[in-house]
Amino acid sequence: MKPIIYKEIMPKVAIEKLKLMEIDDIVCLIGRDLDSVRSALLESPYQNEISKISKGEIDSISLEEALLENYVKTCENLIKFSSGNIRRLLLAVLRKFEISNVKAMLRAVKANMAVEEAMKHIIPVGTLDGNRCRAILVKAKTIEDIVNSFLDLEYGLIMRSVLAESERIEDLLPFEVALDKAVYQGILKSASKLKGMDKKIAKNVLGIEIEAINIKIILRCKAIGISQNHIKEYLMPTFLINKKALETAIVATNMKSTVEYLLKEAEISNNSFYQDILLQIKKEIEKPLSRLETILEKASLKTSLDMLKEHTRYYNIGFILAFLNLKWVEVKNLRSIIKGSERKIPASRVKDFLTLPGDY
Amino acid sequence: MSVEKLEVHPTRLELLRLKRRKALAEGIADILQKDLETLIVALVEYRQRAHGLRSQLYEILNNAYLLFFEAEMLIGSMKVTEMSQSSSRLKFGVEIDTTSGVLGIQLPSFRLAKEENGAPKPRFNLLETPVQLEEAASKTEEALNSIIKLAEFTAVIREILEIISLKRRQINRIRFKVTPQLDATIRYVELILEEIERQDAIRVRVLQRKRKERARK
Repeated sequence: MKPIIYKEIMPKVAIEKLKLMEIDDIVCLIGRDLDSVRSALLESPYQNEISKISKGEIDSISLEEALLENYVKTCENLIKFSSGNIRRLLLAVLRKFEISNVKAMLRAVKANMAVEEAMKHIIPVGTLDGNRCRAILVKAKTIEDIVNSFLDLEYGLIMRSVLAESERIEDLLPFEVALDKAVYQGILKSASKLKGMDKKIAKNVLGIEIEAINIKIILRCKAIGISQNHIKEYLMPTFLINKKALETAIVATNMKSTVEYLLKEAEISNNSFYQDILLQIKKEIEKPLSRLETILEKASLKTSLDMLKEHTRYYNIGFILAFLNLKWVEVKNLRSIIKGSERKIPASRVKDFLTLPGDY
Repeated sequence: MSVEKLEVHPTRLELLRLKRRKALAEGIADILQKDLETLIVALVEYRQRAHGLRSQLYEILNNAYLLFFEAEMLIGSMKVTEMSQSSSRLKFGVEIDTTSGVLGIQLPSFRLAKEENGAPKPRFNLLETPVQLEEAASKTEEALNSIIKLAEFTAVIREILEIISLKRRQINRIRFKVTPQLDATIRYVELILEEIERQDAIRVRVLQRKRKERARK
């Protein structure tokens, strides 16, 4: 580990972490109307983005847009102060938002959405700023047009290969899966370039995130009744567990035996974080799938916080990844509260959807 | 209320015919009344079934909306809107047929005809969406079945109501038009026949009296 590469980014992350809202402040927003949520957010780090929304045009979408914009800006800010492999990793993580925009454009074209309507679903990030996205949407009439407009980026080539394989475009899922795979492949590639402790931490935190996604995909597909061959197509690149083991887990007769098999594999690979999550899933396997998905959603945050406890707080990537996870959880919590308020969902129910610390 | 009598010859044969017609009309009215009662019972049954199905449908839709709202809370309205507008539409139609129902009446029967697309496939991106969105979609599909069944019950109820009103009209026609008309005609024929009898009796007495007088002379 070279503390010099953390010289600029660590203070920045520490400042940003201090800006995170207190859990109590977030919880007290539950059940309040959108106007008062807006007023509360005006006194938070989201102030700049929220202040752009006038009182008249306030709705859950505009508030959600502001929250996501803030998250992306924070990531971009951290990238600005980072260097070397850390910068590469952060850029790879930020690509999740870039492909989210690409997917939004594909969906907008498929749904024949008006440009202005489609632009509401786009969060300007990285190479895909608002002007470029608008220009693409104005010109694009078909999915092929969208694919062609991205040929200067990696995304275009990925989508073109999907296009070449399919005879007719009826479903966007193959495009979306290919893009998701490419992003996670990129994240894993960047993580594997890190060295020493950083590599170990990134492997665990990001690896758990990807494996949690794979488990979620397997469990969901099994619940829907999708054939084993098709499930393989939807899986993301594996990291902590080898691909063969994951494919064997798919063949298991039911969800319980899938989890049991993966648990055995985790024990062989001796990854305690992965074991913990699978044990928790095994314990609650009879509960609704939504509950299991919640456990998997929290997996990455839990691992990054555990890694923080295990290693020194500063001068490793763990602190940065933990902050990104905490910030993302904050955005998600606020989004749930806003939507809950708009839909008049009872406060106790909204609270169930928040990711809160275990002792809260 | 004066009742128009039928144009008939006031003969005994006609009187017998009229009485037979009246008995037949009363018999038909009784049968129609029984049919009407059966139809009313069937109507109440269908109404109760429709009511139960409607409550069930509201519950399914309520659950579907709740799951949809939960999905919105988890991934935000922007993603859910995107997904819902671009996901493949459900292709379905309604097959209409008839089945023999109460009293052998042909009642409408609706069936949801779904286009099967081979092996099951996820409708939404598995990575981005929570299971709630998939569940909300399948609940909506479940609601479609109930909606079609409810439409069938509504059509059946409408059909039964039409038949009830037809039967009621027929009964009323027999009770308040045919039967009073037959009664009036029967009374009229009876009156005429009584009058003829009386005249005949007088004529017989006069003739007897004249025969006696002739014999005395």
